[in-house]
Amino acid sequence: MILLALDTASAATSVALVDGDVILKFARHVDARHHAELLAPMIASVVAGCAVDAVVCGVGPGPYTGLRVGVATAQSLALAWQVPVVGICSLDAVAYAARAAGVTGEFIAAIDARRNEVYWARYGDHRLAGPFVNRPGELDPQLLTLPWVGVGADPQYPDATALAQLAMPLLLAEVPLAERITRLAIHGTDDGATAKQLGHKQLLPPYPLYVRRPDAVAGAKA
Amino acid sequence: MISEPLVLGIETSCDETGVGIVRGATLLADEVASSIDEHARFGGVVPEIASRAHLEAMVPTIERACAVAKVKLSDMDAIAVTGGPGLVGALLVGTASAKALALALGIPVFAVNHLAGHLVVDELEHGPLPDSVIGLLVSGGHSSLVQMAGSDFQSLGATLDDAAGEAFDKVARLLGLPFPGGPWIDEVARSGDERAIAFPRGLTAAQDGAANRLNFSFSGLKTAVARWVKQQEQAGTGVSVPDVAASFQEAVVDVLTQKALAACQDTGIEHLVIGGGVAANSRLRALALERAARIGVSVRIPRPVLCTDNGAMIAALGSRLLVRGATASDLSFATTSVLPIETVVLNVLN
Ligand SMILES: [Zn+2]
Repeated sequence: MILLALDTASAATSVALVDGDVILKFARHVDARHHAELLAPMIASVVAGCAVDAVVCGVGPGPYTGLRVGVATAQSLALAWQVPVVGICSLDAVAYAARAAGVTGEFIAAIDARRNEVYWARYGDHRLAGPFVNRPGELDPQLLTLPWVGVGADPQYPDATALAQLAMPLLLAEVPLAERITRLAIHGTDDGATAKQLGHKQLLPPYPLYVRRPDAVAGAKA
Repeated sequence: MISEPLVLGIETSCDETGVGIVRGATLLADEVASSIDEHARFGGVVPEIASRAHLEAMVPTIERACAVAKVKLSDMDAIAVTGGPGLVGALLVGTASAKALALALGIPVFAVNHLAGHLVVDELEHGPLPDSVIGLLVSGGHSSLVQMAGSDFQSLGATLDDAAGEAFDKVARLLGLPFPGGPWIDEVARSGDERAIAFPRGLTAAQDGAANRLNFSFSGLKTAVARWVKQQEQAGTGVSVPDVAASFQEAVVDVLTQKALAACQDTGIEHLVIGGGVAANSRLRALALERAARIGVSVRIPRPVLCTDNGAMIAALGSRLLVRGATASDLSFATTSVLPIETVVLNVLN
């Protein structure tokens, strides 16, 4: 099973093509303002004519503009290829990469939310709480005694290979659900039903985890 | 070169998620999902709400358009998408989707100018445009006069302040009519007297000079309406909303038609096409036809549903570009909130 994974939830744009445990191709660019320009050419060079069986997308939380570029791209690729598309919490990818880098025990995974805020979630064996968005000053001081990964340290960014490795066993184990996942991706809302049916919290519908409510400032029409 | 290409067009520059499918200049599907109801209580379009709604509507709208057109995505010859102008966050949803479709299907993508789409969409209703034609583009964000020849668009004039549609929205709010105001003014004006109040016609006086002959200005008109309403209220004489609406609307369409026909006379071009949301206004349509007939100019205006933002206009423009052998956009193209009408298709703007 060949997975195409992509993430745009942080300053990084990352794309991976993975076959089982084997990373076939991987690309990453760090540029917080140009996900939209970088992503499609990166996918084109990573996929390079290879047949993809499923698309996995980081659904944040992350700054919305870049995040939506990734999610819209993943949904549309899956639609055109007629393959399933699933979401993975991008903080789970940070946590996965942290574990792989040797972080043990409880810790916090975080992604810069801009505007002096941070998206974060607490991890032990699995995600214990979150995702949330806060100003650093609002956080319970106890949380600050835990190790933090993803802010000012490596692994700083969600990584598409981590997404693929999180999604792969779930997709392999639950092939009959693939069609339902596709339908959910196309018509559904984020009720978490598919993730629950899979008995796992990591697989999500391919829609952004916004966490914040939208700012309401009206503009004009073109 | 394919003479009758199958093209899917995506439009997400504002609050409408539009997906259109054309074969050559034949319209096969025009599906639109609007988030306008979610914006009404803010009195304007809220970019973040629009962007969220676009992402939710994008794939279902593409699927609906394919079902209506009875075609498969794998049948497409090209994808066209609005590259600008518009709200950047909203544009990014459509362009990301368009790039993904083009890359997955192995077909070209044309990132096109929304404004040009508003004029070219008329080909879906009335067939190919003449070789040379004057375009009057009137919408909430734009009021422009354009000279079109093939894929070459030249600006002849534009608004110096408010767009015509913006003036409609502001005056509607002043009169207590709902947002968006254009259709309401049109409706209410039917029972009013357009000669009741002599509102000013911006940039039509001799002293405005030749330089502004084809430019527009609507902010003075908007201020005049506000002042008039206030004076009536202070005098306790009451305000006839239909009369104000009709007189205001007459001032706008009088200027629009005068200047569009002046552009025809200046250039010697005998064809006029009108596009954009304000082109749905019934009084503009009637007055343009009446005045143009007097000087032997032909007028083409698409039916109202094609005047508002939609994917069909983008597909129509993509098809026209493909047939004329235009170069497609690179997958790295950037969207842009401001885009001059002269730039019909974006390549790489970096
Ligand atoms: Zn428009």
